[in-house]
Amino acid sequence: MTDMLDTLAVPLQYEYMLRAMWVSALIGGTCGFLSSFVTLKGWSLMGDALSHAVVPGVALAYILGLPFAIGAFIAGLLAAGAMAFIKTTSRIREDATIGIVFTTFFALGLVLISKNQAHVDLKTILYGNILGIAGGDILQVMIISAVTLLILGLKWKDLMLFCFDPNQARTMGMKTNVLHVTLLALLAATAVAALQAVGAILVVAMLVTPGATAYLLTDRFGKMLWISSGLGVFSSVAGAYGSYFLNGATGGCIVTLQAILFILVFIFAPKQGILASRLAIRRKMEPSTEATA
Amino acid sequence: MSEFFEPFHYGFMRDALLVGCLVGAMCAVLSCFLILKGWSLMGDAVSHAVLPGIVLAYIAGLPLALGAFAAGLLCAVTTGFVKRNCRLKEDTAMGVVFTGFFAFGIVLFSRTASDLHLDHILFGNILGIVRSQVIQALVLGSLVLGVTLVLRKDLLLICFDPGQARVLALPDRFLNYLLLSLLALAIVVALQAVGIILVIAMLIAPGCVAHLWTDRFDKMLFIAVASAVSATVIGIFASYHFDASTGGCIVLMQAFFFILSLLFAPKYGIIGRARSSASPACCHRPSGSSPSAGVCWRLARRCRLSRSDASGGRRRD
Repeated sequence: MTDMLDTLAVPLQYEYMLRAMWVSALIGGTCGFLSSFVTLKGWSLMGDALSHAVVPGVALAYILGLPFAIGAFIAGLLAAGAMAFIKTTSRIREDATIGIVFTTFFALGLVLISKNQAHVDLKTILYGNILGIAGGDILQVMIISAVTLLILGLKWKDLMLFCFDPNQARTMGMKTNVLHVTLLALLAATAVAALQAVGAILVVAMLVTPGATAYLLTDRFGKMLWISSGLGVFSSVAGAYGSYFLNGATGGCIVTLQAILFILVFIFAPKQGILASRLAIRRKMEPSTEATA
Repeated sequence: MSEFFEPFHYGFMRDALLVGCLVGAMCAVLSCFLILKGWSLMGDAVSHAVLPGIVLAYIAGLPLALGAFAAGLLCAVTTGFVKRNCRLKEDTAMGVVFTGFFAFGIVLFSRTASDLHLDHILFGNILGIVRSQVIQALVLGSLVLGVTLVLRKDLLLICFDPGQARVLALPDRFLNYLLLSLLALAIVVALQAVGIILVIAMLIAPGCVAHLWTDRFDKMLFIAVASAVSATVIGIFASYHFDASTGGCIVLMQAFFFILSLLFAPKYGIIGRARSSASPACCHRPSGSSPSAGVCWRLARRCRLSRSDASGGRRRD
């Protein structure tokens, strides 16, 4: 018994493991919080697109020796602007627009990186490197998370109304354009932070899965926020911890855990799960079958 | 000049050009259907989801293409299942499912000692393609291209107007799955050329370029293929001369074509529209609307309908 406890405590003795766990908890919580809004707004694809579109920004920032967050943030906003521009000026559908813009940005990033392999490690950008995260990067993640959580905490009711019903928000005199850009900017900023934990390809999972899971558990938005942030924190900590024993990729472990939690909720959720809805249908059917008999 | 054509002296460059052009043409043809059906996202999801299939096929000693194909289809089917059985929107369901697949693939990959290169799966390795892969790509690519072109009228109708397709007693469920399978197969083939991350660009950009130039579907197919093939050739040449990532160069070339079309396409380009909106006779359609009425009408006329039915039933669009 004590042997087992000792084994379980092994990762906690390493400073890098502890650091990885609390940093990814912070990132997971922030992304989880935002994911409720993303799910409601139907911006899942946007999260995916922005997380890929930041890559050339990160590459350029590394090449020029700037903090990566600034480059990534600018690239993300540029991509969002380009999408909005193409959408309003051409007859291409929104999903195709998003696809074209983010792949172009990503391709640009690839070409930049392939020309400057000494400065940039593609693997770090694509899969994240939470176990090796260093001082300056931690500081950037902390600032991003603090600002995001602060804005979301103060403005969550406005943003919620904007996500649910933009027309209503406009009638009530809110500046929906400002809210739209705010949410986009927050999305870009969190995508940058999450890049550190799970890498560019899996950022979208951090920004979608917790919100989707929480959406199946509750009808109240306030509760949904708590559940999705909680899921984000838990899956990040447990995923990082578990990756030590599995000896697997940390980002992959975190996201796989999120997917497993989603599958469990999808099946067993009290009201929205498949089991519950099947039971409800059967219960509805039963009286009628008795009546015919 | 001879320096510019230097790549032709190398066998691997000739192979790369051959496979690249075929893959470009195949993806371009499919992209026309995908953007009309609103499935651009599906290409993204399926292309990521093939990773666990590849790793599992490697472990089981099966052909990698088989595993990739199965995983891609499974992802599409799972997304449909999740969407039908809970209240999540389709894009959210897709996001959850394909990242789940990809993350599982990465964990599996990091646990498996193999001589697979994740870089090659992600970004393609067209310059290092070996003979057997060339043959596989040529056979599968021609298959996809052939089936899509032969069935293009039926596929077109299920993209434009599924209701109409059902009325005409087309096997719409079968055709939907066929299109999905063709997509998955195309992704497996294109994996070699540009890798799974940039396949999505090849599956969207040519269709969008062509959509800006014409209203006729046959012309659209032709323009899409032409732009994709020339982008591939120029991209491969550029990557040779600048020593940069091949997949990246191909996609940047396609993006360049798209920007040109966005600006200069005669009817739907920004400049062309600005000029024609000055004349009152023009009736350009607002952005984001369904494909233009001209195409629908012509399509209905071709699809085994009597002409009177077509003009009566289809003009409403």
